[in-house]
Amino acid sequence: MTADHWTLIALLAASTLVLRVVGYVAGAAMLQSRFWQRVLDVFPGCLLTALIASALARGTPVDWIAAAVAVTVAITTRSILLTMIAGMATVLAAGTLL
Amino acid sequence: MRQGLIAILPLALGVAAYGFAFGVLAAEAGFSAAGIATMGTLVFAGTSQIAAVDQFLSTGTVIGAALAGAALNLRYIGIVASVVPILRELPWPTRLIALQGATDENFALVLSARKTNPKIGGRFLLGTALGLVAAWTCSTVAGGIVGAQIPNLADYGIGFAFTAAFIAMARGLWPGRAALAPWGISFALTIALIQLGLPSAAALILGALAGVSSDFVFNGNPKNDG
Repeated sequence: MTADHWTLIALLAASTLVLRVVGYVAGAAMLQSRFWQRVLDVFPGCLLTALIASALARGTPVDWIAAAVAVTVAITTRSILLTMIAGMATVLAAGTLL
Repeated sequence: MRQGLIAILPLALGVAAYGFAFGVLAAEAGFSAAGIATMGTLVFAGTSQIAAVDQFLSTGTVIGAALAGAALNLRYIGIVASVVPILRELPWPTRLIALQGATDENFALVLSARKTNPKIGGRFLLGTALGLVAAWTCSTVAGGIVGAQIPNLADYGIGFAFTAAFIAMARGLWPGRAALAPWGISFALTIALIQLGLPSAAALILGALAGVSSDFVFNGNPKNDG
């Protein structure tokens, strides 16, 4: 592990703690503001779709096929583990077949 | 506390399963077992850990990875705010532990259990938190130890596991058709910005912010919601 790995852990730990403390101290007041309530509701989903997009933007056609399979499994099962297994199995199978 | 520990067991098993997978991937990104244990305990936010390690693995930038992870944790403001009355039942040292352990998996469980049994409170929350922290940390470390022994994980499709995990997490957050425009714009703009040559970390933050802004346009301004 390098210093970068430890720095990432420290930054993540600090930012998560700050957000939890903000939630404890000011969360109720923030949730009374419709603006902040909307931002806090919508932002995580938007960021997740952006993360998926950033992975697929540099991905191969096999990754796009695996993503379609993963979306189907996620919709039907709602299971993180099953979706991961289905996505990885598709990449593995397509890599063997193509 | 024991009641909370027992109640969280089924969820903790599910968390342990994808915690193990995350540990394997973190090992691929160069994290040692000690590093994974430290991250699991001090951060204890699965989605943000996965997002940060994914960005670190693909872009190599610490700040971009930390920003992606921190941004996903914005929802903790709402999660913690909803359990503040329960947290206040605990003395300070244990209150801090329960605060650190409040997460997606247990806050809803505690709130719904409290509705049916008003005696459920801080100690129940503490039990669920301890169960989840133990399950997450142990499983991620076990995954890290196993992952470090397996070379060329990319050959097994493991590189796609993060993307699949994000897809499943997004499914869990899907609020209905109102999210079509903001999520679609986030997705399309992030791809477009990366194709235009912007670094991934910047593109995904800009894409997500554009998605949030578009929600105000397509789903109405909150000031006018009545």
